[in-house]
Amino acid sequence: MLLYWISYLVGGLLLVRTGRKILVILRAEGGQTSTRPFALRPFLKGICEVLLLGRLFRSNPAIWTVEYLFHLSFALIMVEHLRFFLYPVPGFVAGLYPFRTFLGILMVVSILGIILLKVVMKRVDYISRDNLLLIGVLLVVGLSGLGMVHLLKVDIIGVKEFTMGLVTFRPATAPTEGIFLLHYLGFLIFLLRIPTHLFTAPVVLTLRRMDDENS
Amino acid sequence: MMRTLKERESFTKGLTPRQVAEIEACTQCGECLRYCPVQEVTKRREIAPASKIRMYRDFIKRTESLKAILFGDEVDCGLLEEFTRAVFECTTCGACGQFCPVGIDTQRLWPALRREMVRRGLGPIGPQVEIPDNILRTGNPYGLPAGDRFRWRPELSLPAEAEFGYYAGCTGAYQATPMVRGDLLVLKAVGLEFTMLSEEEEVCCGFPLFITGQHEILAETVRKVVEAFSLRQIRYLVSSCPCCVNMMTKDWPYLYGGPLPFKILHISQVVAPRLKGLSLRHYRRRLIYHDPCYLSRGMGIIQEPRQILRAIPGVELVEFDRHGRESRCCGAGGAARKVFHENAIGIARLSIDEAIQKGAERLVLSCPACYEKVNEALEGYDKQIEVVDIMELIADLIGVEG
Repeated sequence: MLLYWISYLVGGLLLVRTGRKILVILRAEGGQTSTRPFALRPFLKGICEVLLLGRLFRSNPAIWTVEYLFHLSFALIMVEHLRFFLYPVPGFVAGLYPFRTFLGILMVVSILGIILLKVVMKRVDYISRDNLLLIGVLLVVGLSGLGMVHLLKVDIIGVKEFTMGLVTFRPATAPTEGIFLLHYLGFLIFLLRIPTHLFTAPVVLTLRRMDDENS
Repeated sequence: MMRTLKERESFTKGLTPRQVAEIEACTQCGECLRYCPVQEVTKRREIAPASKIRMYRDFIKRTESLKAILFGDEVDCGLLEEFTRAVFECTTCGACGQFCPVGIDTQRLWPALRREMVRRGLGPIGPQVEIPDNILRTGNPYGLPAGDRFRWRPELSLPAEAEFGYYAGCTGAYQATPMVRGDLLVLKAVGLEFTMLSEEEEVCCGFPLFITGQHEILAETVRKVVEAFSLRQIRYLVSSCPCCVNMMTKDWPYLYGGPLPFKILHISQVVAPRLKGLSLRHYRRRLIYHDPCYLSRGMGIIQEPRQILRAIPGVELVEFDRHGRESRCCGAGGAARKVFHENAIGIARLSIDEAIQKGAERLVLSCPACYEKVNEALEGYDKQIEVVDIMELIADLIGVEG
């Protein structure tokens, strides 16, 4: 039951934190803006820029490779994990199941690649504590996820009952395997420290592309 | 002992929603580190664009997060002072934003953050404090006599009213006079009918106030110039100063309170299409052109100066590794050159070194601040290259005399 309360608390905090950030952004009153009127074509180009991380590619192809692989594998793993929260499981979610190990390895390797490139490019001193924590937590989440699939098997039925109980507000007994708890609590920490750029960067990228297209 | 600030005044209210989103959007990837000129010469971590954004995020968190509202929090005064120095040490060249994988428009963001520091009484710094008073007294940020503004002006008869107006700008008029003199000679040579304001009427465009975050007299200053040119019935206002052109295009409409009664043009946009009728002397030289930050990154004016230089018979034009929108700052930007003189000289010498390494015989500039700073950086430096402004060069090749 404790795990349920912790999960709801984290979910609540995430919602409040995100809501608060949106409010802070919307409350800003500075009058001057360089944004030009809306135009569809630049907007669509902006969306492509977001999906392909185009500016990062132009700036640093090596970092782009590891960052893109990380973001892509992480996004696909999140989609694949929807199977724990949906019943019946949609086809596009089930279709990712055979690739879960590959995606997990890709995510871990790309995180290691990011760390390696930061060391090689002498940027370690500039990494914030928040980013270091996030990188560490995601490594723990990724490795424990892979561990659950290949090393220390967990009661998958129990996990599904727990997660379905979470979304239907009908608590079931939480699995007690250490590796599951590590994986799940690691993810909750990630949610608590989720970087705001996940929501704001796509907007900023699109606006910048629209500016560049119009200038 | 750590000093703290208990004030709860918002750190975001003076910014636009987009700017707050930009601060939140920084991924701290550090790509900007490779391109920040101040970082390049100082190697100081806190000046890095990502560090500045991280510090500012901390201020927002400590004043506006839910935790701060519920339980209270305090802004670290030491961090605030460190941030103030860092944001005022920046040249606001915007290279960090040009290469930012998220596309943060830092050329606009840093001045906005400076303004926030000014609102708190922490900025501006050094001689920047004197800018508003100087402008009020003399019409220029340097406090030099208004009567000296056009001392460099060649003897030309100008109509009281014309389709085009020419604005020299303070740095050109007082500190890069061969440049603005060249402007007038070239405009006349291409047959442009233009007018100018009197020495008393042509006051600062407001850029030094804007860039140092001192907005009190900004709108009033802008209105003076706009109204004076309106009376001269102009349809186009031409200037060679990238900072003026940027300010006029992006900020004047807002400060004036509506669309301007004329269009703003950079001098290269006026001269490039009119060069055909001119006969330029043969000039067998290898030139390298430096893109001013506020002209290339700020305005997207990149091709016109090159069209002008390529029109000179015999010229070989070479490029800096970073050119166009990606150009490196000359060190003079952000009103930091008078305060952080050594940084500015160090940065300017990076461009001098590269120009020489590329085998260029002349370094062509098109910004009065660059002109002043690069010439200063050459003083006492063991590497030397001839520096010339683009219009100064064209005027010389046309052979016009003032």
